[in-house]
Amino acid sequence: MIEHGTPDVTPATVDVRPDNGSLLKVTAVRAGYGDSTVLEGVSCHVSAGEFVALIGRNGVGKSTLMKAVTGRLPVRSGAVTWKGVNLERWSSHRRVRNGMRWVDEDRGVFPNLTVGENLAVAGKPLPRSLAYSVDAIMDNFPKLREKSAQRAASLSGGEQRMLALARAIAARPELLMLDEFSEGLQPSIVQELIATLREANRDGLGVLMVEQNVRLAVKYAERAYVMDKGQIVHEGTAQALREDEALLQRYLVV
Amino acid sequence: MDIILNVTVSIAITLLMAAGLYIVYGLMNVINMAHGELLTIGAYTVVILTASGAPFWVGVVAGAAAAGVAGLCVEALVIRRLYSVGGLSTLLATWGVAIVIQQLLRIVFGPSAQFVSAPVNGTSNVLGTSYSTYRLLFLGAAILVLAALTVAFTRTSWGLTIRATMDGADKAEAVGINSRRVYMATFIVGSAVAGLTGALIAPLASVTPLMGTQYVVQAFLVVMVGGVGSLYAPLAGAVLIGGLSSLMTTFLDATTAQVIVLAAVVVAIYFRPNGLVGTADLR
Repeated sequence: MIEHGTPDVTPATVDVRPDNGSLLKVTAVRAGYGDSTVLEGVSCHVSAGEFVALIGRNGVGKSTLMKAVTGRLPVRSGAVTWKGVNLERWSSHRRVRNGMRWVDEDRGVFPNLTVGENLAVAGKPLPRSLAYSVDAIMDNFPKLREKSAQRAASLSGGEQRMLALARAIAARPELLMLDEFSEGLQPSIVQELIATLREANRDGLGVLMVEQNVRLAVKYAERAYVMDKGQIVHEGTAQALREDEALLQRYLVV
Repeated sequence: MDIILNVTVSIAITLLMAAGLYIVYGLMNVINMAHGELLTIGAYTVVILTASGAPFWVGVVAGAAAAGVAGLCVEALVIRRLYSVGGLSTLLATWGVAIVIQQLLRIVFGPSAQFVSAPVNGTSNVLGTSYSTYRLLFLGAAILVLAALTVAFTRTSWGLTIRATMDGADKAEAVGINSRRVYMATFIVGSAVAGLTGALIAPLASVTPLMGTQYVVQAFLVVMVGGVGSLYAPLAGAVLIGGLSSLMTTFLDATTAQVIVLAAVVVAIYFRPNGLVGTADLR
């Protein structure tokens, strides 16, 4: 059963514009580990081609939300829907095969595989229409070609993130979620990777950037959510957030 | 020359035995205590089929298949339910499976030893020494199987998917790999290799319900001593354990030889706790 939901939470209205419906919709999600609840009813959404930032201090539940959305942590109540379909029983790999991608804080590259193998293995499970050529990726990222025979573990942090990003974008997902993408990277490398990301975004890739680095996130995003203590405490355009010094102070300055 | 051949065959047996265990442990971190019983199933399959007139090599293939099917059942019924718990519970659960299989075999075939005659008799001349033809065939088959596994693991897309999953099921899922299916396929392959080993060993050993136990101990030692993370790890382990025990039994009595081998194992693990070659942590 597929229904296109609207960007707001009201389920009664149906958005008929297929390219403007929410790709990902998180509705009142509660989740946690063991006895503790980390997410206390989080709602947010990302539409096709949108660049959204999810910001908040360390430990407010951003990574937990990523885990719930990607199918690695059960949702206790509420729902995660993808193009209108409830993902409740979907394994992580099935979400990926249906157009969702993520790059974790740990970058998610396979340390014992070579750079070339890292690129190749990620293309295999894709449907044929999305198959990509490893060679073409390396044309875009000469640095990866240079190191294609090296184990991914031998790459620097920035190179590993480049590998993870190149691999994710090559799969032409509809939504790419990045967890603490800028952490520990030199500003020049961040700039380079962001440029790649924005180019893909212009070509229609939806982006959800989960960041502690607020300045970076609100600089490029269209819309932003601020998270605190397992809840979304603010939602608005990134521009409004950039100018709301009081809000930034309240929730984001450590 | 005789000694060299004996040592080589012993290394091949040990390595073949350890290969299945290594695949499963290296990938899934599952210590399969029922691995030896999968070997026994392979051996009994040969016993049944050759007794009913089938050619030996048909029995070998059927032995691998039977152990593969048994492995499928063990994975689906027991191990799959314990991935989230891991470690000790899988060890205990598969140990239970091992005992069940042993007792079932005992009920069906009785406790006494059965024998399988080799498909070829006599000896062949190897560089001036005469040596059992079946043992030479065994050596060839072992090398063939190990080479096939190595190629499959390092050169095929199937192997690439397995190696990726070995690096982290979470990461594999994140690129769209169905890690559960990889686990299952890997477990079946590991079990089939055990069954194949059992079938090939059958003419060289007495087939009893408990035969798996004696081989599985050596296989565990190989995996421990060699370590995980490299394809050469089990080879190093097998050379040390299979080679040394065969060499020692040539000159000493079996008990003393076993003591020396175990002492070597202790020394190796003391100085190289992650294995002679292995890179990953052994838990």
